[in-house]
Formats: sequence, C-alpha cells, structure tokens
Amino acid sequence: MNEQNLIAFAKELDDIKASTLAKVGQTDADYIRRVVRRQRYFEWSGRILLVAGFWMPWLWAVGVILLALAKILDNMEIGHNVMHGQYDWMNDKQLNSKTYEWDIACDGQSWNRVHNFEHHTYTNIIGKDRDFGYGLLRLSNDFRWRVKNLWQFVTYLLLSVLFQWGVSYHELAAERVFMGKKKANRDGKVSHEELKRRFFSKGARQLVKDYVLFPLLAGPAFLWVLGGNLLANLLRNVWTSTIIFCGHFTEAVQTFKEADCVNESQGQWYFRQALGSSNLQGKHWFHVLTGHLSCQIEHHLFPDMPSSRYQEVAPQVQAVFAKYDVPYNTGPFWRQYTSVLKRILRYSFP
Amino acid sequence: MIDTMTQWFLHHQQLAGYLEPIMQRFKPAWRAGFYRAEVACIEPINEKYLELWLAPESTWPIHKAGQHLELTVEMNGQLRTRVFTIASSPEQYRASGLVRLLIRTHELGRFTPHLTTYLASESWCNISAPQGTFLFPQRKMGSTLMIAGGSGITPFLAMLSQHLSEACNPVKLIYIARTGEHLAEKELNALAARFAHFSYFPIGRAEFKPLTHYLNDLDAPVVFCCGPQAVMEQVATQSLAANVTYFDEPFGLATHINMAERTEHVVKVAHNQYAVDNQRSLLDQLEQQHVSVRRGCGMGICHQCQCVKKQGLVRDMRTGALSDAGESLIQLCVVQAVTDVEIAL
Ligand code: FES
Repeated sequence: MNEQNLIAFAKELDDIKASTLAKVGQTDADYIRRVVRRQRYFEWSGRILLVAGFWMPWLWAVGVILLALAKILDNMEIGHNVMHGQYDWMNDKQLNSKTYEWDIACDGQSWNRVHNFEHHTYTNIIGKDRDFGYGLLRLSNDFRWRVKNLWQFVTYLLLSVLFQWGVSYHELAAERVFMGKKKANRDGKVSHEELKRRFFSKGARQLVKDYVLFPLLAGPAFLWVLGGNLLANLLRNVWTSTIIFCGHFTEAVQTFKEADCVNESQGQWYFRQALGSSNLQGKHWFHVLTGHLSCQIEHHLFPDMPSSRYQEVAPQVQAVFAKYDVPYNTGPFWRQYTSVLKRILRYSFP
Repeated sequence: MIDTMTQWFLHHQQLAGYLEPIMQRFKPAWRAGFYRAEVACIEPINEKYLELWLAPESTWPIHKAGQHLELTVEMNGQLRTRVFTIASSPEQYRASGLVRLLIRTHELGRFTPHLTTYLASESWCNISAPQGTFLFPQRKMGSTLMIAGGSGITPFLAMLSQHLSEACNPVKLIYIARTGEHLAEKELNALAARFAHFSYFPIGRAEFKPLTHYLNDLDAPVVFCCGPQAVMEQVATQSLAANVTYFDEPFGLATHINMAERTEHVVKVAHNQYAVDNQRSLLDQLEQQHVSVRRGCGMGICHQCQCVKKQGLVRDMRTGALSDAGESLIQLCVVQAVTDVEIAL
C-alpha cells in the first residue's frame, strides 16, 4: 500500500472506531453484567454438582463442564476484555482493568502489563512481542532451526494442557527473572522480586484453592471435587490455548522485523495488526466463549473497544480491508485450527 | 475473614463485589461500597434548579446539618458521581426518612441536565456516607452571619432548620442570587416569621455591600460563607480584616475553557503540585518532572498509564472529547489538562 492509501485506510478504520464507540452505552454495560451473572451461575452449579457426583457420577460430569464454562467465561470474555480496559468507561469498580483478578494461575496485573503493552503494541515483531511462539515453538523462519524443534508438536500439546502455567510463567518474562537474562530494549518498571512474589503467590493460591481447600470443603467427596477441578482446569487450558493459537499462528499470519516498525504511522500500525491476526467464524455463543478472540483482527485493531461490539464491527472492517486489498484472514474453526497445526509441523523442520 | 476467603476462593476483593451483578437483579443499584437510595420525588423548581428527595436505605449514617454527599447515578451504562450538599436537616430525615438535594442544572454538563432522564420516582441510585466539616458549631457562641451565593444556600437550609430552635443569639442570612432565582423563599420567610433571632435578606449580586456593613449590629460574630469562588474570596479577606472567625465551603469549579490558547494549570498528585500546560500530554509533562508515572505504549492502547482523576477537566487528544468534572479514569498519555486537575496514581 502506498502512503496515501495507508492514510485513507487508517482514516476509515478510525471512523469505524469512533462511530462505534459513540454508540457504546447501557446495552454494553448490561451485556457484560449478564455475562458475569452467567459466569456465577455456572460456577455455583458446577461446584455443587461436583460434590453431587459422590452420589451420582453423571452429575459430576455435568459439573465439570459447567465449572469449565465458568472458568472460560471468567478468563476470556470477562477477564481478558476487562483487563484490556474495554469496560473501564463504566466506572464500575468490579469491572476495572486495574483491579480485576481472574481465576487462573497467572497474576492479573502482571499479565495486564505484559500483554497489553508488549503484545498489543508490538504485535508479531520478532524480538519485541514474545508471544510469538512463546519462546518455545518455532513458527517462522525468523528463528534458527534447532534440534528441539523436531518434537515441538509434543511441546505444543504439553503447552496446551498446562496453558495457565505457561501463560503465568511467560508473562512474568520468566526466562529473565529466573535465569537473570536481560534485554536492552526493555526496562523493568516492576522489580524482579515483585514479579517473582506475584508469580508464586498467585500460583500457590490457585493450587491450594483448586486442589486443597475446595476438595476439603466437600468432605467425603474430596476426590470427586479434586478430580473435577483438575479436569475443569484442563478443559479451560486446552480451549484457551487452542483459540489463542487460532488467532495468531495460522499459516497466513505474518511476522515483522523490528527495523521495519520504527516510527510507523497509524496506517502502518493498523496494517501490521491486520496481517498479524486471524479470525474464527461461528455462532454468537461461540464468540462469547472465545472471549471474542474469534474477532482477533478487530480486537487487535481496537484493543479497548468493548467486546460486545466486535461482532458488529467485523463486517465493516472486512469491507474496508477488501477495499484496500488487505487480506482478511478468517474461516471456520476446524479450517483455521488445521492451519495452525500445519504451521507448527511445518516449522518443526528446517 | 470473609474478605480473605473471598480473595482465596473467588478472586475478588470483597464478597459484595463478587455478588454484585446477581444482587442487582433483586435490589437495583446494589453496589459494593455504596449506600442505596430510592428517589422519592424529583421535580424542577425553576429553569435552573431541581429538587430531589431521596430515601436512603436504613443503614445510611445520618448526616449533620451542612454536610454533603456523593450522588452516583448510572447514566447510559456509566456510573457518574457528583457532590451535593444536603439541603434538609437531620431532624427532617429522622421524621420522614428523606433527604433533600437542591441541584443546579448546568445546560452543558454531563450530569445534572440528565438527572430527570435517568432518575424517576421510585428508581434507585447510590449515595456515599455524609461527609464534610462545614458545620454549625455545637458550643455556645455569639451571633452568626451566613452568606450564601446561588446554590451555596443548600448547607444553610439544613443548618437553619436544624439549629435555629436551639440557638438564641442572632442569626443573619444574606442570600445573594439573581432576581427570581432565590431558592426556598417560602421556607426561609417562614423561619424568619417563626424565630425572632433570625433575619433573612435576599439580595442581588450588585447589592452586596462590604462585610462590615452586615457585621455592625452583630455581637461577637462568626461568618459562614458558601457560594461562588469570587464571593468566598471577598468575604474571606474582609473577615480577616475585620478580625472575625470565618468558615467556608468551596463550591464547584468555575470553568472557562479555551483550547486554542496555551494555558497553564496545576496538577495535584498526592501532596505535590506540578505545573503543566494544555498543549502536551499529561504523561509527557509529568515524566519530565520526574513523577513516577507508568508509561507503556504512549499511544492510548495499553492502559498502563491509566489513573484516577479526582477532579478537574481533561481533554482526550485523540477525539477532543472533554472528560467529566468528577472522578473518572484517564489515560495520561492521551489527555491534556484543561483546568487544574487532581489525580491519584
Ligand atoms: S501508555 Fe499505553 S495507554 Fe497510555
């Protein structure tokens, strides 16, 4: 795209953003509170049914699913979006990006810092956005091939299963905090001690809560609850990791060099976000369960627009992309996911 | 104990916060950290003023005459808060369960002109506990001179109806407002008729004479003043000159906004003050003065620089939109100060 087109492209996207944000109001507030209520209902019924599994095992299975749904709603549609500041305009203390804490091993505020800043500002810039491959997987030719990449598909599966810990460890910039590696282009505003403390305290708290306290509360149903929590966490981990991989690591997603992104204009920034993300198609409930990361492109263009509006702006964004000949990477879940798996396999080899 | 359990089990700071959206289904406006109040009546008194009667829930701590509260109303999904003085006495509250607010509606404001839209009778809103130290002294004292300007009459309405029956020394009220805009005239005239030691003078702004004029027939006077900045400054200096005790209640911001011109403002952070202008972002200017602010992207995406603005107006550099005057969240990297501002980092 030439300079002029980039400016016009940015202008059209800015207009979509402005006209949508102007509409944000009661419906959006009602929407997110409704999701929060569902989350509570799922969580309560899930926990009760886990205990009921002691008498009727099939109830336990329903309980696991409900609890997993509760965790997914909490982490994705509520936690992720609230911590992006999408609902800060409501002035509601319970839905505020600076105070929200979620039901996951990763400390909310550490995540908020790294994710919103590093990942959303420097999306897919190799060397700046550590989310690209999470330092574990080789997903483009920007990285030198190593022998360990041969079995990275297994690494990927493990990462999926342990995703909450992966995220937690990763957002902590673990490799630097624990191993003492430093990088010149980042200055740590929060001390390493503090980060470590948060990593351990939040992580430990989650472990104790899920695998000691809740099971103890259940008395004789101890093992049922413990197993249920384990399985619910597992389901949540696999789901979130799968959705997130579909948003960033389909085959068509591109990467960028640090040098190309100095002093980039708003248009170039939008353009980079567009090429660095991919969408998923599906029904309304599917979008909600993905935390609207199914609208990853829109989310990356407008990270602080309330998620309740992503489905509405998606067709508008797609039309603008078509007009400027920018690829709009979308597809049904299975197609996108297969594409992700292919990418992981493809870059396992030199 | 409950809060610790909530933090462990439910990853919320308070149990009430966790339950809030559910409780709101049954009890509208149920909110952690707020009191609820039901609107008993809301009516315009004239073109500029609204009268709002609220029935606070029973746990609300009763106010003292002269105190104010924060009124929070959900307007189009957004919680907006403003401070108003209670214009009725604690005694009235005990008798009827109601408190009265007299609210001046500012045409271009984001709160007062919308009150009638969002608050109907029997709807619910939130209030804070009563606050403030602008009180009628309990101890025996000499005579009292009250000077009210415009909506600054409200604390005096509460004080007079509460304390006139107990006070026996002279109380004189000078009430400055445009002709036809004096509030609660009937009420004040009735008080003046009932209590011989109370006198009441509604006057226009031009008729306001130097303070000594009102003090000369008062014995050991104490001066109370509430109204526009200019009136309070004048009364304060003259009280000092006349060597009389003076109390005041600062009221609202006088805002005059000019974007094109470079203006200078003060940013208050905790106990420090920093000079800024309206041309560059607050983040840049605070950083320059070595305030420990947190910078992320610097372009309004990541919310790392976000903080609470306590009061004052800021302008969003991206959209040109002006903020609320009350408490709200701002992103330092994309706003400029338009008035003096107070923030909490
Ligand atoms: S620094 Fe990123 S939003 Fe202000």
